[in-house]
Amino acid sequence: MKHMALEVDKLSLSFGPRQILNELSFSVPAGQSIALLGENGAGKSSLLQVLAGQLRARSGKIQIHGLPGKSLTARRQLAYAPQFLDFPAGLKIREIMHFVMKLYNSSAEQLQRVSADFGLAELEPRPADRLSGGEAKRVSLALAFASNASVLLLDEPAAALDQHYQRTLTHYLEQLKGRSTILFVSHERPASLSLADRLLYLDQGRLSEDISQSRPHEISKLSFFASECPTLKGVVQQQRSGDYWELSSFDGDALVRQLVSSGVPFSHLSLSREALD
Amino acid sequence: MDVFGLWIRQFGQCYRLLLREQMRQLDYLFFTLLFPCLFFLIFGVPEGTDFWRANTLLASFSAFGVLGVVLFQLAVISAQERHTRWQSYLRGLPLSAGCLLLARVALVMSFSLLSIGSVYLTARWGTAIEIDWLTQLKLTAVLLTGSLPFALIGYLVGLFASPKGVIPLANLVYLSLSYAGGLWFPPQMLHPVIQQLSEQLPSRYYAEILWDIALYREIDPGPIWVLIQHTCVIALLLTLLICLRRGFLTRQAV
Repeated sequence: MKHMALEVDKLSLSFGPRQILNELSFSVPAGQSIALLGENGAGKSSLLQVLAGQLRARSGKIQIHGLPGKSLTARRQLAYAPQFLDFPAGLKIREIMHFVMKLYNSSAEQLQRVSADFGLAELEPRPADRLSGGEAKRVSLALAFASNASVLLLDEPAAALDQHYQRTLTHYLEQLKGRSTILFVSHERPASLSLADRLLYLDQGRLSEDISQSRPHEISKLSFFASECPTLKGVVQQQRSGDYWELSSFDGDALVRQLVSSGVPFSHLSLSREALD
Repeated sequence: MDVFGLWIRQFGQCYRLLLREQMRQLDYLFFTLLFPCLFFLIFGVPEGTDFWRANTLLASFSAFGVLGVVLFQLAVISAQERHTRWQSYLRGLPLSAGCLLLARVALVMSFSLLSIGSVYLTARWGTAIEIDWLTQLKLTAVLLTGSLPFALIGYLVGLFASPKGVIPLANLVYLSLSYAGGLWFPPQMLHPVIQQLSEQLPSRYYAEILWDIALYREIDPGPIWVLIQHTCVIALLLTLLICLRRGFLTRQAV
């Protein structure tokens, strides 16, 4: 039996009356890369925040390498790069990086290498509160990669990065594939999903689909006109402009079949395929 | 490394990071020094014409300055920082329990030394205080250690107030404790109802200990015990509320 890096059992989270995560359960074998997918508000970022210890679940159980998720040893094994991160005034980036690295017992050489790859050398002496969104993102990614943690939680890792650093990110994800356990939320680049071994679809805080994939090589784009769009399984990305809908999926044919059988009237259906990377 | 050793090391790392952050905010340092000094200049200096009055005022206004830092500032900082992304990020780091909170409390207690120093220098310059360095040292030590319950109250206020609501709420708590505790006027000059209330407040017992030291009287152990009791009750209440807030008593998450 393969060693589980992460085990989530009946995890529930609510903000007041709103249920964010609803008895969510799944396990992640060590070394697996998972893409978390779902519409806005499905609970993807909240799930990462709960796993990272930033939000406290109402009930449920988290285990990291078999250890309780709250234990310090388990938390050393886990690093989180949030979707957005602001740094406090009065600190320099260098000081923040050293502070975080000491908590992870990470080496200075490792930090230096990752820092150079993400172009942080020139940012290090800068006041931490004067970074752009993309620069802050590079810092948070560098901290996660330099931590040597075996479980990485990346929330929209490519968002706000320019093409050069998106390539750096992809390079890191490829290098860590099979060695680290990675959970990432991705909206902007369906292409990055080719790095995932498994896709978890969340819908209103529940796991709606769990697809293990042998790396897909193409993505299908389905476009059509309809006044409403039925709920279809396997949608990676969904965009709407008035009555015009554009859906992305790894299985375009299945999507067409679902659309037709849903009974929702539509017109001007078009299906195209695009190679990934 | 053993658990305690790790905790101490992480506490030191948090303290140094917070210290750097605060030291680079010069306006914070300036007003932390200026406020108690200005307050003492306006209300303390004109009254400090003899040993008894000057030394009592030194103790009272030093305590008021300390409360301003450990209670008011801690409440405001806690409430306003709690919702920042940086604080969320810190919560996700592998830090030992309570490390960051206690580093923050230790930091405000250290910064209250600035306000003690500014009141002392103003008193030296403008009043008839007679205090030797050993007594001033003893006064400073008691001012710092005795400020713990007020730091806990400050954290409690900051934990439950909204970022905007914290300023009026912290002001209300801080000014009420100062006034009714006898830090602005001697307790016997307060309204009889306030005098009765005063005897229930930790600020009153804090002041009683400080007055004994500043006036070279034998220290009455009574107020010390009452202040310790108040500290324990506040700490217990804070722990209970944190547990309730984080759902430790109601949820089953591990």
